[in-house]
Order: sequence, then structure tokens, then C-alpha cells
Amino acid sequence: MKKILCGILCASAGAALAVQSTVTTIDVIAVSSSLSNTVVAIPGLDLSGDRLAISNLVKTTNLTVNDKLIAFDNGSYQCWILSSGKKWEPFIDAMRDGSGESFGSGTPAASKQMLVGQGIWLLRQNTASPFYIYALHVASPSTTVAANATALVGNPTTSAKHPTITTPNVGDEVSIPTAGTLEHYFYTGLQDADKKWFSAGNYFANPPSIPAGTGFWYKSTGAAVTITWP
Amino acid sequence: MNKILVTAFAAAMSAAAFAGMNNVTILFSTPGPDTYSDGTPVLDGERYALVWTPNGETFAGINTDATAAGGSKVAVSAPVATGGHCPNVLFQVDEDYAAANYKGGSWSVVLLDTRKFKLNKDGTPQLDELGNRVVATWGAKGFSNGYGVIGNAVANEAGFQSAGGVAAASGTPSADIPDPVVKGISFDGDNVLVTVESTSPALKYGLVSGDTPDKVDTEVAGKAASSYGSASSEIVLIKAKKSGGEFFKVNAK
Repeated sequence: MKKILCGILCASAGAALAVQSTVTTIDVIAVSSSLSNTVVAIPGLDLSGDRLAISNLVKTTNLTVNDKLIAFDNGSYQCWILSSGKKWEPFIDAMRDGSGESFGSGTPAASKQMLVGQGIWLLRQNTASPFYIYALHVASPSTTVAANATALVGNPTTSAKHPTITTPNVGDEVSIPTAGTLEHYFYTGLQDADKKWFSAGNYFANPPSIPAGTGFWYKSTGAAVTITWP
Repeated sequence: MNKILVTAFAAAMSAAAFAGMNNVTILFSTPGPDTYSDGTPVLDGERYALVWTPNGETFAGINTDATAAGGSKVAVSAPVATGGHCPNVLFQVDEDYAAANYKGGSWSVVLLDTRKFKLNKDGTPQLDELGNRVVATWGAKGFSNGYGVIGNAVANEAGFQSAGGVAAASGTPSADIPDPVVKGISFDGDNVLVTVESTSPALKYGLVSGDTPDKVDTEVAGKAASSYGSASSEIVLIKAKKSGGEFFKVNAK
């Protein structure tokens, strides 16, 4: 009998000492926005450590059937719609550009993967409730916008922050969605010491704070730029 | 005409000229069932087209070569019909191409009827046991019997245009299909026989009659009062003769 009691005590002591937890951290961001069309940030990686797929970006909680996700990639848009089965189903692409017309070939699967810190449009019918994004946490995330390119960029952190833009080009532009339009910030100035972001008659050291999980357009007019979220 | 009024993405996005950002984008679908002018369901792989019409003009239809009549232009057409309707399609026009070719104006989405029918030796379409025309091919570019303008767009605040929401029918003959011509009238017993030329197997021709020449609008029913046209020969429409004077026209639809 004594032996049995001892065994139980030893086991309990061992369990109390060996506290275990996951070695990875998950970011979960509740995004409250009154905008029907919001740029959503890609907050991190897939739980497997791979790049996050469109289908796993936004939790469908609080979303409505026929809400849409719209990505911008290489100068054109791609769209997915939330089906009644809570799946993101792709739109067929029918595109016309200078080289002619095309259809279907660009139709993306919802498994299309996105980079941390990129952005994607979410079109919602009901904005009363927050939506949720989650991902495997990435320390010190950064985004690179290629030279002379336009990209959707998102704040992948869990709090509102000013983006730090490394060596922007004069003429670069940040455009932040507001209700029905965009708020534009242009990088301007002749001397390095004078260079600032200009918007609506005012100058700023940095673009404004971006709410967690949301984003903006960035237009690079010269060399590639890197955006971080300290 | 149900026009889709599109102020491209640019309108809501101010003057920003981000490459591709200002593409014209229309998210489109129909709930179905979409039908051809003869009431049969649209075949999988049938085409829907995005058409631009310049300011000050009215969309004048689609020609038999699938181009737009008048000053309108077909920006893109795609053989996307599935399950008797238009599935979710993102029509998109590159901003530079749109700026160079589609300044201002308005947009429409139209259902095309690209069916080509199996023909009898007399040029009339072969019919199945239900009286429907037997289709040989469809969905190819560069041909259209007719069209139907469909859909509505609602601009939302960020500029993406959503459209669709109505069942579609290709009920209008192509703009350049020639009008039918009455070549002769003859009598056989109690019947009037109207011989018609310049017809198309894509259309069904029928007689309308009236008591005065300025009111010829009563559709004539009965066997052979209407008939599909012919690609190569005349057709004959038959109507029971009535007493007194009577005036005729031939309609196509």
C-alpha cells in the first residue's frame, strides 16, 4: 500500500514540474472595420510553417455568403467568393490587355499562397462585426515592394503601428482605404533632411498608424523599398 | 437596354496611376437559367461578352461576326457558361488598354448565341423529336446569331463593380442579319402561301396579319405559320385564308 501511494505522489510531482507548451506562437487578430472594402494583411505563415494560402487567411466567422477576397498580383486582380459551404471559390478570369484577351488561364485556386506582410482586399456585406485572421507568428516581419511596382501591403502585427519604410523614392505613394476613397501620402522633398510624407497640405515623418491586420497600396517609383513594423 | 454603368476602379481611386490598380473590374454572374431565343438552356461553354459603348451612343447590338455594332466594342468574351448560367467571372480590362480604347462610356455584359446548326439540304435547320434545332457547334469566337443584354452593376465605395443577378436570354437577333423579303404570295385551296427569301436558320420567321396596312400586328398561329429560316433557299409560310381584305408582314425572332 505504501508503495502505491508513493508512486502516485512521484507521478504528480513530475507532471507539475514538466510544463509543456507549443514551441510556436499563433497570432490571432480581430479586425474591426466599418469599411465594406478593407485591405487585410497577411499576418504570418500557415500553421504548418508554409506560406499562408488564401483559403486559410480569413476565418469565415462573421462573414457572409458571397463576401469576396480580391488579390492584386502582377498588375491584375484575382477574386474568390465565399460559398454557402464556407469555402473560397475562385472567379473565372476574363482579361483584356494590349496583347489580346484571355480567360480561365489565370483562374487561381484558393490554395494560392501569399507572403507575410502582403495585403488582399476583403469585400464584406456586413461590417457590424469584426473578422478574424490568424497565422503562425513571424518575428520582425517585413515586406519588399519591387522597383517601380505597385503592391498591397498589410500590417501583419497584432497592434496598430506606423510602417517604417526604408529609403523610399521621391514620388512614392501610400494610399490608405477610407470610406469610399483613398487617403494619399506622397514622399517628397529636395534634401534628405527635408524629405517627408505629404498629404492634404501637411507633412509627416512617417505614414499614419495602420490598424492591426489592415493595409494599404504602396507605389514604388524607383528602387525597391522595404517596409517593416517595429 | 440594361447598361452596366462602370466608373472603372480609377474613379474611386482618385488620380493614382498604380500599374494595374485602375483596371476596369466587373464581378459578374447570373443565377440562371439563361436561355437562347428559342427557350432552350444555354449550353456549357457558351460565351458572355463585356461590351463598351462610348458616351453619347446607344448600344446597337452584336453583329454576326461577334463584333459590336455602331461605335461599341467587345472588350472581351469568354466561353464560360456552366450549368445553364454564367458562373462567377471577373471581367477585367487593363488600365492602359482601357485608357487608350475605352474612354468614358458605359459597359454591358451580353450573352451571345454562337450556335451553328446542322442543316438539311434545303438550308433549314435539322430538328430533333422535340422540334428543337440540332446544334452542330457552339462557343467559338467570331460568330453570333444573336445576343441578350443582361445584368446590372452596383458601384461600391472601393470601386469593384458587382453585376448580374438576373436570368439572361439571347432574344435579340444579330444586328446585321438581313431583313426577310417577301418574294411571292400564292393560294392553295383555303390557304395563303407566303414565300420568303433572305432568311437565316438562326431565326424563326412568322406571319403577322391585320385588317389595315398600318396595323399588321396579329401573330398568325397554325401549322407552318412560322418556320426557321434557311441558309440557302426560300421558305414558305402558310396561313388559312379569311374573307375580305387582309394584310401581311413577316417577322423574325
